[in-house]
This record gives sequence, C-alpha cells and structure tokens, in this order.
Amino acid sequence: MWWASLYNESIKILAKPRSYLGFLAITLLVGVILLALALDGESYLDFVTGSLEQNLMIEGSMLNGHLVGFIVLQMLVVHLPLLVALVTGDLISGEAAMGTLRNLVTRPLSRKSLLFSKYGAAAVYTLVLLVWLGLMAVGVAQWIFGPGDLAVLSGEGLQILPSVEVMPRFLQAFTLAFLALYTVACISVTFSCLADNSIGPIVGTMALIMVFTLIGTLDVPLFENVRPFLFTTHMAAWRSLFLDPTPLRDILFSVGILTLHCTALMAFGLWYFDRKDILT
Amino acid sequence: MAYPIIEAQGLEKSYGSFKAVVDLSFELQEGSVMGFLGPNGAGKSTTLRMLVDLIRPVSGNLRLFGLDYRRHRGRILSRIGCLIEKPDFYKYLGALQNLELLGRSSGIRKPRQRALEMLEFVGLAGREQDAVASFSHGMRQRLGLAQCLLHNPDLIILDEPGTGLDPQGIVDMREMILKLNREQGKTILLSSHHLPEVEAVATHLVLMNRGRCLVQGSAAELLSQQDRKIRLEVDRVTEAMDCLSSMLSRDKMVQGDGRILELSLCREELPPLIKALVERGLSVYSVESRQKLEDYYMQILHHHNNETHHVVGLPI
Repeated sequence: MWWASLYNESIKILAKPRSYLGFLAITLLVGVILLALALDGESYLDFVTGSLEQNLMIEGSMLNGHLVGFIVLQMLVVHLPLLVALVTGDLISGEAAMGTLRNLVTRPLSRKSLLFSKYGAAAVYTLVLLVWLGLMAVGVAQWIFGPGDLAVLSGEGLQILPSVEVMPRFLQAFTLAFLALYTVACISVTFSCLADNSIGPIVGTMALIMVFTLIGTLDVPLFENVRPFLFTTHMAAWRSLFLDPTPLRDILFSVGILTLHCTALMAFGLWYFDRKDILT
Repeated sequence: MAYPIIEAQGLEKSYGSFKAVVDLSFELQEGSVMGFLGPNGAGKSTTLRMLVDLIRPVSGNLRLFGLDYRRHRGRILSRIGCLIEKPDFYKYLGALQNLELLGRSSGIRKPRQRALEMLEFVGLAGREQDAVASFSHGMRQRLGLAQCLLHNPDLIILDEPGTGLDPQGIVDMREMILKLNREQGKTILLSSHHLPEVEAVATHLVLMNRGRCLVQGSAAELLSQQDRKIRLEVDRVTEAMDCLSSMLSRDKMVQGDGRILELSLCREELPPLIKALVERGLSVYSVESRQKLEDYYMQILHHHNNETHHVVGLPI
C-alpha cells in the first residue's frame, strides 16, 4: 500500500504546474550563466585569479566544462532550497487547503504510511531536481566547453584536480548536496503537517534557513557551540569533496548531522500527523 | 439478525473551551438508514468526523463493526465509504484519475476498472477524462458518491449529499440511497438539513442539539408519537368545524386562510372525518398531509432550547 501511495504522490507532483517551476528556473539560470561564461568567461577568471598571478604563472585556459559546472553549482545550490520548498511545502497543507486530505485520511492506508509516502515523494522530487541541475550544469557545460583539469580555490590556495578525478567527485558532491536539500524538504513537509495553507510551510522553511544561516555567520561566542549542529552549516559541505586531500572526517560529521535532522523531523512529523484532527 | 455497526458510548470532543460533542451515545444497526439531524453547530459534522477517524474523541468508546479504532483502524476504514461535507478532488486531474488514485489508496487491485464502473453507476460515464475543474457542483457531488462507493463499503456515511443539487439531482440521490440500502444491503448514515429527503429514506433517527443527542430510535416509533398535521380545503369552513366537533376536540382544529381547515390527528382518524364531511354535503377539494418529521424536529428543538435557557440559563 505504501508503494501505491508513493506512486499516487508522484502522479500528483507530475500533474501540478508548480512542480515545473523549479526545472524552468534551473534551465533559465544555468542558461544565463553558461552564456555569460561562454561570452566573457576569461575576464571572470582573470578577476578571480588576478591576485594569484603575482606568484603563479598560468599557461593556457582554465575555463573548461568542469570548472564551469563547479561555478554554476556554487551559484545555484543557494537557490535550490526555495525551489524544493515550493513543492514539498505544499504536500500536506495543499491537500488540507483543497479539502482532499479528508479523502486520503479516510482510506485504509495508515496516516503514518500516508505521510511517509509524502516524505518519499519529496525525496524523489529533490533527487530529480538535482539530477536536472547536474545535467544542465555539468553535462551541458562539458558539451559546450569540453573537459579539463579543475582549478579550485580553497583556504589553502589553488588546487588543481586532474580531469579523470573530477567526475567521481561531482557524483559524491551531488549525493551530499541531495542530503542537504532533502533536509530542507523534510523541514517543509514537516511544517506542511502543521499548517492548513500552502504559503506558511514554504515561508516558514525559508525563514528557518535564514535564521540558522544568520546564527552560523554571526561571530558571537554564544552561537559557537550551536553552529556545528545547525543543518545550514553543512549545506555547502559538498564543496569539501573537491579538496585534496578530502576531509573525510568533516564530511562524515556533516552527513551525520544532516541525517539526524532528517530523522528527527520525520519522527516528529509522523508523531504529530498521526494525532492531528483533520478539520478542513 | 442485525447487529450494531456503530456503537458510540459517551463520546466527547472539545475545541479549546468549546464543547462540540457532549456525552454522545448511539447505535446504528446493520441494514438501516439513519437520519442524523440537528441545526448548524449541533455537533453532527464533528461526530461524523470522529466516525471516520478524521478527528479523535477526547473521551468515550467508539466501536465500528465490533472493532476498536485504536487497534483495527485499517480494517474499519476499509469497510466505510464517506462523503464528508463538500466533495473535494484534485482539480487538475480527470475524474477517472481522481478515482484511480483513491482506489489505489484503498488497496483495490484493479482501480481503473472499478473507477469506470463507479463513474457509470453515478451517471458520469463519458466524462472520465474531463478535469474535475470543469465539473458542476452536481457532478462533483456524484463523483463524491462514486469515491465513497469505490471500495464497496458496508457502511456509507453521507454528510449533506443533497447540497447544491437541483430537484432532479435530489431525486436521483434519494433513489441511489434507497437502491444502495435495499438492493445492496448497505447501512447508511445520512446527515442532512433537508428533512423531507431524510424522512423519505430513514429507518432510524438521531437528533442532536448543542453537542448532545436529544432523541434516537426507530423513525416509525418516534414519528408515531405525535399527531399528523392535515390541511383540508373545504367549501364551508365554519360548517365543517361544526360537523367535526363531535368527532374531534376543538383544540385540534384551526381555521386557516380562506377555505383551509387545519387538523391535528393520527393517521387512522382521517377516513371517518372525510366521510362525515362528504355525508354532510360539504365539498372537500384537497387533503394535504404536512411533513411529520419537520414538525417533530421543530417541536423537539424548541423544547430543548427552552429547557436549556430556562433551567440552565446558559447554552451548553
């Protein structure tokens, strides 16, 4: 029955026009960035590497598909939570607002299974959105600019990753980015259980991200102990996978924190929804 | 032998300090049609929502099909079909897709086939692929009934199924309810403000007000407790009253407008009265029997409202 419910949820997401907004936005944004880099990418790189050229002589062009993909990802991963929340924040509250939640809850399927299938559908949507971003950012960029070594600027300076190593790192980075985005999806689905309108959970999710990001960036001693445990601190952990050597310990800690958030949010959502009075 | 499909004992539900349902107990026997009546805010919808686990009572016991909700929720809901308040569907999907989706959630093996059967049953064949957004209210009501019957439930709970329907739609809905009850043996719980429709189909009644159950029992027994209101149209009203005064006390006769004489009597008393009028040479143009349920409903509510205001002083 859970699979049938997951199938139902996927059909509903596919049939809703708002589900395609994210894909449209990604396509447009990546298109604009790729066009800009294709026309004036060298100037952009000169601006970034300008300070390094006093100590380093760079021969040839660093602009290639891998670097462009990396730049696009850095720019867009920030915007993806909104696109994810736009669809996942509507999964329960949208049904409540429409009145269709009554039809679902009065079926023999348990409330827990119903909500679990919503979390499952949120995972599928997040994954598909991320795969689309990957195809656009890495796939199309490679097709336009061709492959090459990836130059990454880190706290320790400029690192060059050989071309053959880049793709596996992109795959790992996308997996970690998925976990980060799925945490956002879990927040909005859980908020969706608490509300009977679509706007609240979406705005609530974005507000939470903003507040946690602010706490993470403020240099106040009070927040120092809290910061490592905020999910927003680990949203950009995927970037560490392009460092050499890879900080495995830090990455595992990020995976642990994000997984803990997902599990806790799901557990609370399931507990709350199982007891909720459906009044709409 | 019929057994109780619903056994509700001492159900209570509050929203903050407002008590929506207070110590509600009733039973619904297998194969019966129960009319669930009461004014707005009486607690009917809250009770129906408790019956289908949309909301949980704060106290009391609720057993359906002899099973407890806390342990057998899935088994109970697999035997209940409901249409609570207005029928809502995914407007961006077609009628067939909506039913298929609900069929899968109900564990039906061939949801498409069953959905097509139900669409035909409610008279929506040919509109399967049309988006629900394009449906009129009456069509949505029919679709609501289709989703309710999708998994062939034993108990059907209908909350205001006639709302927004045109006269033909109301007749169709009534016939469908009777067909489901008499031909398929379904037990039906019908909540409605449209008393003539309830009277036409109900075998049992529950009347609620301010969260409490005021009366319950067999419709025939409850309604036989009061006199029938008869409106007679005769050519000479005063003479007719004189003629009937030997057979009926004066307080059961009221002169209405024009040639109307209103009587309050039981069914068996009517034929000799008509005979006496005709033998006296009076012309009887029409005999109209007013709805008994409506009178009964108003009488009970009026009595309860007066009682709570005078005795308690405050609404419950």
